[in-house]
Amino acid sequence: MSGWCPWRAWARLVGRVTRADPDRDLDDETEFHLAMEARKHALNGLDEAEARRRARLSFGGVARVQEECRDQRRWAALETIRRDVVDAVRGFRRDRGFTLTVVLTIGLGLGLNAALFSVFNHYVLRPLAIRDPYRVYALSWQDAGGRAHSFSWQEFEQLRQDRTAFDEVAATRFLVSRIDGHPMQGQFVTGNYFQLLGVKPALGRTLLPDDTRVPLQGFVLVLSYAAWQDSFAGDVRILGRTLHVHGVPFEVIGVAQPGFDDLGDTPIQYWAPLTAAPVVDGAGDFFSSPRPEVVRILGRLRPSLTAAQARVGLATRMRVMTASAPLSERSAGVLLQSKATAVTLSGELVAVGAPLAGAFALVMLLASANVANMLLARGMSRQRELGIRVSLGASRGRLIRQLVTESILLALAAAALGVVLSEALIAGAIRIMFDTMPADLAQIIHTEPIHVDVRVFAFTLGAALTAVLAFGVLPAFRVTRGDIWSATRGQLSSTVSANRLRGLLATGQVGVCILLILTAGILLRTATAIRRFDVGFKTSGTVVIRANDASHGRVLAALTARADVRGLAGAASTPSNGMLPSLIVSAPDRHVSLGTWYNDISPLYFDLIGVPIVAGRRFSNEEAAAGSPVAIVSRSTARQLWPGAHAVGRELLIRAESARSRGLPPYASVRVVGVADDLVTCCVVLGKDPAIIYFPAPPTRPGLSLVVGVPGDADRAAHQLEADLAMLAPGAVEEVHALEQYVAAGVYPFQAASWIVLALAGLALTLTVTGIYGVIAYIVAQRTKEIGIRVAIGATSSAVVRLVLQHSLVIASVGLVGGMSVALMAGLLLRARLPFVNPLDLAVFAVGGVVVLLTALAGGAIPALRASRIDPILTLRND
Amino acid sequence: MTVTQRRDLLQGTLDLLILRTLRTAQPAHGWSISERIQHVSHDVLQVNQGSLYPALHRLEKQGWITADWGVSELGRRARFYRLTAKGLRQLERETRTWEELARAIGRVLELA
Repeated sequence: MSGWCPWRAWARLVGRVTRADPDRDLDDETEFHLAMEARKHALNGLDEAEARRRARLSFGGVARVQEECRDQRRWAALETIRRDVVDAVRGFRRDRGFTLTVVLTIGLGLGLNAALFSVFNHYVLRPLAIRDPYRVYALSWQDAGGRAHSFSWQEFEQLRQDRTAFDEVAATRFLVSRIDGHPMQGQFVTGNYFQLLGVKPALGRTLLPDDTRVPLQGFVLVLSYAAWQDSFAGDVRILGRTLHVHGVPFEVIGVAQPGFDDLGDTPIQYWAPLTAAPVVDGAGDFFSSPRPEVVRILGRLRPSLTAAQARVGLATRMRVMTASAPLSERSAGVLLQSKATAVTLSGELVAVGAPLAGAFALVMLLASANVANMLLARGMSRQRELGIRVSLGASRGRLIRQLVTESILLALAAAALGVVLSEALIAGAIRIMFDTMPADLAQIIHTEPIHVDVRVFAFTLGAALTAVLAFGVLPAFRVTRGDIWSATRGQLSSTVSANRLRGLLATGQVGVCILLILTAGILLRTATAIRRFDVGFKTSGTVVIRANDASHGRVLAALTARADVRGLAGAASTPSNGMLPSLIVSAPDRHVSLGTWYNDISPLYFDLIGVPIVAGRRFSNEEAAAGSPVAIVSRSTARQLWPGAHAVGRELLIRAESARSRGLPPYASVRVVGVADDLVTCCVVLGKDPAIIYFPAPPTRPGLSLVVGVPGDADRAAHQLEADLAMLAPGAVEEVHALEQYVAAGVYPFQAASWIVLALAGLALTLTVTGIYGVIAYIVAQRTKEIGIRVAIGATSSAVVRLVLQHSLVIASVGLVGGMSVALMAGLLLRARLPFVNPLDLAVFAVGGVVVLLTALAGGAIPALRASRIDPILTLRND
Repeated sequence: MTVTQRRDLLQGTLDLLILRTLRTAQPAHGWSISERIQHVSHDVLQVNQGSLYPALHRLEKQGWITADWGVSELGRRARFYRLTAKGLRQLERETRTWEELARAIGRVLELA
């Protein structure tokens, strides 16, 4: 046999597994027949050579007979596929430019979508690295008002005894902390936590029930694998080392298995016994006091129960347990949240994720439309080839199978490219994110490596096949339906409807493109508006420091003693903090109730952040020290409670139960002593606080954040203060940030979102240009003869250009009208949902429209120029 | 993949002849089948080997005959075919169809 043929080798291999070598068998059988036939002739007296010749003659073409036998065999189907594949590859090689463009276009769209899906997969679909994750649930309960609650220690003890729903339960308490200067999130857990989850140590041991005995000899902790690698360089001598959490020494006893960083809410860097929590976070002795809601509960569901059954039992149990509590703290139902994956798929997640996924999918759609156009154009120009094949006996089904095989091959190549691209995109996006994010935010954000797994691969392949088949089979049917007989004779059918289809695809592209551009534009304007927004306080020259409760006094004294500190104040929530507690107040003289945020502040707070008191006065030091029943309200709060009247001196009632559950000062009625100007205490995105009430607190009260006035650059001052305080009281400081960083962190998500959509819009624009180019170029190629005639009878080249550009303008305007109407309708629905977003921004609409029109002209320009250079003599002679 | 093949008369007849031959003399290899058909028909029916082997492979795929490798009278490796139960039923069916057809043609030749 000459040369090595991979297909034959493969057939051999298959043959060996399923049956004897089919090719050799066929040879043997033929050979045997010829020998018998030759012998017959030899017996009749012919010489041997002549006998063999006659035998061969009567047999006919040996190769042809064998081929026919092969066709009868089982693997004839494989043979057909092989032929299709070989043909397709040959075709691709002939048309390298086309193949490369298709694979790149689809691959790009796929890469984007695979990257997004990878993230989704990593958090929502991938089961956590724990034992039997689908039986692990987090438990919480709701009061009648729908507010979610966690548990007191006593409640946990009762549930631990109760085995009706869970085989085993563990309690956890989360803590944001610093260890040796690294910000680290800790989870304080009961001793059975690691056994319950089935998590093994990578080094040393995990926590055991004995570690949570009270009293303790010494505190221990287990590091996460990632923290061990990142912060301690994977040093095996970490075992036995002492680390300080909030200044309390812990001995490192182990490192958890790689890939386990707790149950997904936020990556955890270390686990320590729950019994150490009160010492570290100053929560007091919560094991004996009935202080509410100190731990969260995690359980492993009994194998015989479904989550719904368990919920019913637990709901009854919780109702009994909270029966004696005040009405607002009675259980009205329980929530069981699966901990099988890092993030549970919920309605909210879908609401947030769907627009993003939609934008990505639209880009994929654009890419697919381009490919459909390319396949259609290629199919048209291949009509002659297909016609010849039909005349040689190929059935329509056979032709379609051939075209579909080509599509599948393209899809496979595109899927491979997409997977590679998605990894690069994720890595790149994470790098860009960390480079552009406010420095202090980057410090506390941890990302996990996101990898392509089977699910991502299946998704990519599925998407590639869907895209290519949906957009490749359509052209296949179209092409093979044409009058192939006339195509054989070289008459290319004009196929008006195919042109219409291509025009429609390009129009759709323009519509999608303008949608993405408008979204990007509106988000950009929003981000700019937020950045320029007057937050109502002085952002520069201020540093926020939060010390742990035990060290609060020491840190305060150290700061007071410093010469470079311009001023000091305390606040429970510092400006642009991201979240605020709330309560319900009422004005007895007006019979109005108001849900409002509240904040505890020391007297100098407003002076330090530059917020004017617009009426009345600030708190006095005496009021702060004594916790007097006085309050300052914000200007907008005053307006809502006492519209058109003075607020100072009036009485304000605090709903008793709402005060008690929050551990508020024990007074029900406070007197308003001042009105402060509005500012952003919660979130920049929500604008200035709609309603907020301030209560007095001395700066010495543990738990308050310290607002420190510093000269010069606040970031530099923050680093200096952090270094100095770390020397003075190691582990005492939890957070040190310039106030500007909080504002920047609030703005960042919007900036990031606008960049992502802008990138998508840019990509969409590119795809649309090429899409329009493809359509127009094809139209020009088809109308070459007509244009030649026009030129011959006197059309100027500018008239020809106009003629061609008209096409792209029609496509663009129809697409624009469609896309903009969708955008307008969506805008009308979304208007006034968020304070900064203006979905009907006319400037954005105008700019977007002009950009898309220019794009359409650009896409038509090259074919138009080409058309204007058409030489009528050449064109007409060609015919 | 199921292949439904529309067979013309000639091809169908060859299948019938093969099955019928195998019913009396089996197992038999390809050459002896063709010889036997030729011999029994007094050399009227010349079996074209170009159709014989594809037909054998097709019948085998349909499950009407099976094939085994054995050693022939020449002492060479040869493929011996054998009728299956399914093949026997098929033979009866095809024989009936053939007889009906022959009768019909006969009547037409006689009376038309």
